[in-house]
Amino acid sequence: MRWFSFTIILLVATILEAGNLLNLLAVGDWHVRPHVLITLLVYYAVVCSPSEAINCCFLIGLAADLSSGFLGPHMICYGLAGALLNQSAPMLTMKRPVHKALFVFLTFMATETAAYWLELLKTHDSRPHIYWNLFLTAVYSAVLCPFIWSALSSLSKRKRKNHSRSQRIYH
Amino acid sequence: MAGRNFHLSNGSLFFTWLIAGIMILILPLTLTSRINFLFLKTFSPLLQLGRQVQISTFSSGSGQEEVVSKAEYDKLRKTYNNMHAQLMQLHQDYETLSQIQSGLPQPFNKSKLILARVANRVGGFSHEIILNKGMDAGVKQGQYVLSAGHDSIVGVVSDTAESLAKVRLLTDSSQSIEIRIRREGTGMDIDWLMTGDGKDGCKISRIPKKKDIQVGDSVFAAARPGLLNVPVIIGTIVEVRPDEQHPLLWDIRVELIDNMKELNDVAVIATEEF
Repeated sequence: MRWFSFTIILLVATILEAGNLLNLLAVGDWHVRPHVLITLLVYYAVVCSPSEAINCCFLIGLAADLSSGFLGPHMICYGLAGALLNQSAPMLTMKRPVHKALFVFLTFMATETAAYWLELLKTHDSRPHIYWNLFLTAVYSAVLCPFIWSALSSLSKRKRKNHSRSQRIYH
Repeated sequence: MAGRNFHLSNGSLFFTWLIAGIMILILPLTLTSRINFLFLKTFSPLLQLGRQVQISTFSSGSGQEEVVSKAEYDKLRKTYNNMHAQLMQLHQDYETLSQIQSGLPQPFNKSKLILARVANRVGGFSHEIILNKGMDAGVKQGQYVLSAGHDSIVGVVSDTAESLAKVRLLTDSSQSIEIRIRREGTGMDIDWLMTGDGKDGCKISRIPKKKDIQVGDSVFAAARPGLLNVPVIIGTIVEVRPDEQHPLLWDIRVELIDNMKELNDVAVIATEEF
């Protein structure tokens, strides 16, 4: 695991998530934007060794909290989901883009719904149409996920050549 | 050497992170929001990337010509000169009026306006913006925010840091505001609550059908002691229809004066006697 490149990728994704650039891709009245960090979560959970995946997923969750403006819920949910995905990775098939998209969709729905409930517990700040909003964002993120996945794969190609230890490579 | 030998099993590592996450979650919002503000402040220039493109996309029609003919240019130039002269005159008038107003017990005399720029929009599903002014400039939680363009209320300060403030826009579905519905030329004045619809407008729910409300009625933010001395315009009613679940109640949609996507300069209403 190259932590330096991971940090840079995570920083870029967090800035994209929290900033205005993704607003250019936003669609509809609800301003639905793709979620970049969820693809990172699924990618690193599946590709990395267990200890690396745990670190990566909690850090990605923390980044998601920073970009959403409320600390805590995403860190917990992303960490749990990442650990679960990592443990199930040997049984999962993610060779085709549609499989990756499906996993990103399901992971997004599960983690964001749980994160919303956790946020609700603390702030009691409910939002109407949130599930529709989550669903549309999940679909949008799933559609874009194969492209982000390819970019992440090509970025870590050199690393994979040097370390044949990791058997779980999906690209 | 001890540090090199320090090793956590996967289970311990997972639970360490999980406990850290839970601790962060239960920390007071005042503490965690500081970290958020620090992040926003640190990466502010990067976070603003794309904002100008976005504003120009929303504000300018596509395909409009940027080059005009000589005749059109001369005409525009004359208009500009006239408007500039008008502006100078208005500026003089404003200076005079300010001097007069300072001696009068006008409702807004106890308020000062803090001009601020929209630094960023908060990500996620909320309708919130970050301003480049904070507690240092006198911005406090609960204060109303005016758009500089149309002098209408656009949101309420929801959180503050030293040099930044977070504003929850009226379109946010968790933002409620006391309003007054008025009709020009009549004495109609109805007090009610309005909430954001989570899209680009607001809604007024559960208002009895016996109230005479029509499309075109104006919606004002109600005056609140210490926050807003006089009612200020918010928007106009664009749809009045019976509530689907309660036919004896109105379900009303309000169009705001300002387009929240185009907000750039705003003013926070800071009342001295809080």
